[in-house]
Amino acid sequence: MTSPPPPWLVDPLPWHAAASPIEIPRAPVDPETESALSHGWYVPLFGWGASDDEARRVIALVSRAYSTEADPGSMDCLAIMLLHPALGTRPMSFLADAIQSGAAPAAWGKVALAAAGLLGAGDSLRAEFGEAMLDCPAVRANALRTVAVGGAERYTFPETFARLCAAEKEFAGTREAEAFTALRAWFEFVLARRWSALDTLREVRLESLPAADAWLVSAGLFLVGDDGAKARMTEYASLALEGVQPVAPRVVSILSRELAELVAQPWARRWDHLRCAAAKDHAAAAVRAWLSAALYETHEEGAEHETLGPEMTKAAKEARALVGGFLLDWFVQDREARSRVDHWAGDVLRVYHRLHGASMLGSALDEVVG
Amino acid sequence: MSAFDDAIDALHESIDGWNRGAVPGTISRCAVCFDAAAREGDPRAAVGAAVARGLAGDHEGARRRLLEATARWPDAAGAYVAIGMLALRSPDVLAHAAEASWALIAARSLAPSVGCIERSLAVALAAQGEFMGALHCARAALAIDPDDEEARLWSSLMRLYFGGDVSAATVLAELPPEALLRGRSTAVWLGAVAGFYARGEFHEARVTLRKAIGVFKQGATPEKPLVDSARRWFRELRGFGAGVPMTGERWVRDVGGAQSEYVRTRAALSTFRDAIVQSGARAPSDVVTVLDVDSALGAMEARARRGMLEYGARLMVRGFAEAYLPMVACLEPPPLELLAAMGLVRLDG
Repeated sequence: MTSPPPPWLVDPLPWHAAASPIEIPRAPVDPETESALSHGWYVPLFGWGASDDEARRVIALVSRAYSTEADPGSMDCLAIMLLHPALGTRPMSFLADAIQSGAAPAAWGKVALAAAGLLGAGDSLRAEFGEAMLDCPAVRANALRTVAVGGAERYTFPETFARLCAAEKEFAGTREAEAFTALRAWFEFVLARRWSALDTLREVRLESLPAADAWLVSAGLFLVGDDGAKARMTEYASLALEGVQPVAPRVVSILSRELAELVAQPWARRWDHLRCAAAKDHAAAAVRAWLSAALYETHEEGAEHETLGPEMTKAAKEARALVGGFLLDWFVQDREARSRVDHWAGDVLRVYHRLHGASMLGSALDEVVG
Repeated sequence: MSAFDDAIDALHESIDGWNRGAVPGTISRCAVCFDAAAREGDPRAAVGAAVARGLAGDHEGARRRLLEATARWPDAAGAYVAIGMLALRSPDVLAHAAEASWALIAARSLAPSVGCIERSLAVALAAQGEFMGALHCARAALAIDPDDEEARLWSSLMRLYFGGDVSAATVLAELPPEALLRGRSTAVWLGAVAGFYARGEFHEARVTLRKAIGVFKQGATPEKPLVDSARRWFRELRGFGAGVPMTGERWVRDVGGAQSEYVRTRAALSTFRDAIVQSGARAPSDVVTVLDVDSALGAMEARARRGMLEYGARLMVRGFAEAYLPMVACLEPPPLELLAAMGLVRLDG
């Protein structure tokens, strides 16, 4: 497949302020590399355009970061290379356009998104990187996972939740529907402590979900002390990493360590979550019950008056406006417990993106490398 | 006779002839006379001119004049009392409750221990949702005048809905006949509706509501919002239910039903407690103990009860203010004692 050269490849090239731009950071990372990265003297992912070589280069970069002899800082260095200060998200937009026009296969988009997840990019960087791919129907679901599943970095869980709710509606009736329902329910249960969402998580058929999503659901069930949740987490993590091990040998050891930390203190995790659930504004439910009961009241005080419409008093509207919503259920007053649950959720989501990235890369590998 | 005395006479004349509003011609004459007196530099006249305009329906103009008066004579309580009074007589009383509160707090600090100011402040704070402050002010008003039926009405409402004290329902139910003897309008029956309903006397509550709104013409457009507002509040009162939240049979409904978050959180905590007991030494005691779980259960219930009383008061007391105060403003002229607090009475010794 061929696509036209990107418009920024004109003299001077955005990364040609240096004599030789970095395409692959050296290992171990030396001060020279760090300086080059901070000055933008590097070629970002798909910086040379949407081409087969670029897709291979991205895989090579990820492979190098996860190689057995790689420097521990190499992943952070590579994460910087996702975007370029002079180009911003233009390479990704260019790639998305190429995929949409048929000049590039969807697998290249998957490779790019996989790199962002695998490298452990933060929420905002990952969102910025993935946002450009949202208009591309072939990779939209994966781009939405990249962009919308997060929130721990800047405590934007309510916004993330709103985005997942919208995505769930968008994918209703498609084969992605169950996965997005599971993702939404995970946020609702873990962060808003809503038990109805736990029922949804239990009803989800794990075998029908992508491995990373099934792993996330299992992590949610781990919080309530579900039998076998830990074993399922290990099983789905192995499944997600299956295809990527040949190109990223260190990924298993890194993720094993992160996974072990997540499940290290089951009693403490469960207790923190329950403390948050207990600290919620349970009285708010009463206002909803009172007002819905009021609307079903039909006995009027006399036949001489016409029937009242469903409009409430201003006081009732204001009282109802105070209740409900993800924010109220998430931002509970028990700060200590909330902060620990938020932190745990952030760690879980970081691992989720690594697993999701690994699984995407694994599926695109054959197509790109052959 | 001075222009100010003429204005006072006109004001009292228009109040004596009050019929769902001041007598139009007389209140206009009153405003003109107050304007003439204000030109002579009398601060009371400036307040009177604004009040006359407010009673004639020009709330915005009255407010502007009163704010000018407070800027010019910041140490006189009259203008602040007038701002509070007119705000509580405005059609959208909840929107103006905060303004009424600050004005009446200022008036109280300039003229302490005045019963009608304390009582009006109680009403303003209740409409604003500051129930504890409102209860204090209503009690202060009752300490000054134990027969103040309006202060008793608001104090009982807050005891009932904010304090969860059902004995206040009896006071509410028994208050109107006494208040009517003192010349109050039928609007006072609305408080008794809350009393009867809280006691579970549903028929009496409906009959009492009819007494409260019966004076208004059926289908008359200008009065329809008042009637509908009272009926809406009554509908929400029925949805709220009799008695006090989280007591007796109300408990499960109040917390949102058997599948509610409250019930399920309690169940999850109980399961966790059992798990700790069964696990023996496996549950790390430095992380959680049975006592910790029991304490969380107790705290959750206490918080839920307190929260429900807050929400109940927010729904019922503010809803009452929304329905009751415009009815009072329509049916009753401003009380003479409030006019006296503004200096709008003739002191003839």
